[in-house]
Amino acid sequence: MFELNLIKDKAKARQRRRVIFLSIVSILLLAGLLAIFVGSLFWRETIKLKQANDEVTQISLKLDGMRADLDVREPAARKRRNALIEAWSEDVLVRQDRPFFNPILTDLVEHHPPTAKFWYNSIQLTTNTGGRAGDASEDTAAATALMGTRGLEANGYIQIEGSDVLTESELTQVARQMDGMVKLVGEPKFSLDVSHEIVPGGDAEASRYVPFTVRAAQTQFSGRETP
Amino acid sequence: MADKGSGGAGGDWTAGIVAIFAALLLGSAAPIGLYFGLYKPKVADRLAAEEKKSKLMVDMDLMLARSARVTKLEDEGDDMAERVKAKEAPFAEPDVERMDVPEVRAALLRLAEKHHLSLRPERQQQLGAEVVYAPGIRIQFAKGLMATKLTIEALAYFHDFGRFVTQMETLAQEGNETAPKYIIIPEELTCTGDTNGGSKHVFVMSVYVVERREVDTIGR
Repeated sequence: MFELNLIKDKAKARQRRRVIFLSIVSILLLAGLLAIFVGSLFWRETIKLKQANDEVTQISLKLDGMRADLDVREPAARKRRNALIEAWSEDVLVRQDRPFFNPILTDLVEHHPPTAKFWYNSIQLTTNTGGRAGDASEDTAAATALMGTRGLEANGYIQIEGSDVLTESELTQVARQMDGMVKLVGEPKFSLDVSHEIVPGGDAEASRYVPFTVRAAQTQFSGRETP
Repeated sequence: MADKGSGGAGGDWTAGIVAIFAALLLGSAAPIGLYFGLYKPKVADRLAAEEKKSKLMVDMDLMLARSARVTKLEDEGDDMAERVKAKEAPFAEPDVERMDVPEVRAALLRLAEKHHLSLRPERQQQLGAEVVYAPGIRIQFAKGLMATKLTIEALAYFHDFGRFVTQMETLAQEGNETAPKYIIIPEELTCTGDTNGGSKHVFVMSVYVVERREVDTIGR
């Protein structure tokens, strides 16, 4: 009986050790599997992080390149476009606003008092440098004056057969008809110098030649008086 | 002995449970340590990298929009360059070295001949004297346009000179009468009557010929 019990105890002890051993092995196996699972998650994150960092680096490089390129291109493009717009505006203004002398010459030929004959001794058209040129820089003053108004001074003789007052009134009417001249040099002012009139044959009632001057704009010619 | 035997079994179980518990603790330490020690910081790093990437993508969108604006600016510049070229087509070719506009001078000489403009008496004996000449003066406008001066000195009838001025100011292209060929701006004019009572008078006129620009260099 004693031997039988001993054998039974040994068997039970063996079984207990087996159970304990299997439990420990199972626990360690499960822990190992879990560790492998966590490790795989870690590896996956590592790969994702590497990809994300690579993309960040690529985008950063591309951004830096684009920024450097645009920092050069943008001011240059803006400067060129603005300069071209200014150039185009200047071209338009020069073409539209340039002065023409033809209307002035036409006015001088076509507009006369109906009761008198005209002779011009001299006609002078000069740039009016006293106006807009003052605002321009020294380099561009000449161009500004070129595009500005003109001064006019013309003188000659007029053959009068009637009243000086009537002729002066007619000259004022004529001046108002000189549209081309008004645009470029302003309304012309006629003045008669009756003190220097020439009377051919001595008969002042019949016909006489009176010196006249026509002036326009603010230009003052050297050595001459302004009205 | 039986008591001893049952006492030994209890001790085995106790040792076994302690061992199992120890295995459980040690076994779970590895995955938990891996999880909190490696995995979680890596996730935080990845999220930070992705956040940085999304910020960079926003920057990239802004940069692309800026790039589109710059391209538009450049296109507008090209468009304006074409318009300036078209507008300046009738302007004269500049001759910077000689301060001359030879083709305009030649055209004005032909025009002067057509309208019977002759040299002033005092210049008729001068070698190489011509009715139209370039005094070598060039002026600049505020935005870079240049113009070269030409002087016209002539003896002519008033009506001839008047027609000359009319045609000069609206010098038309051959074959296209509405389009101006050159832009010529008169500066000053002095007409002096013949003191001997003749019909021919002396005309001295200065004009400026507007020159074409080097459009590719504007704003560069």
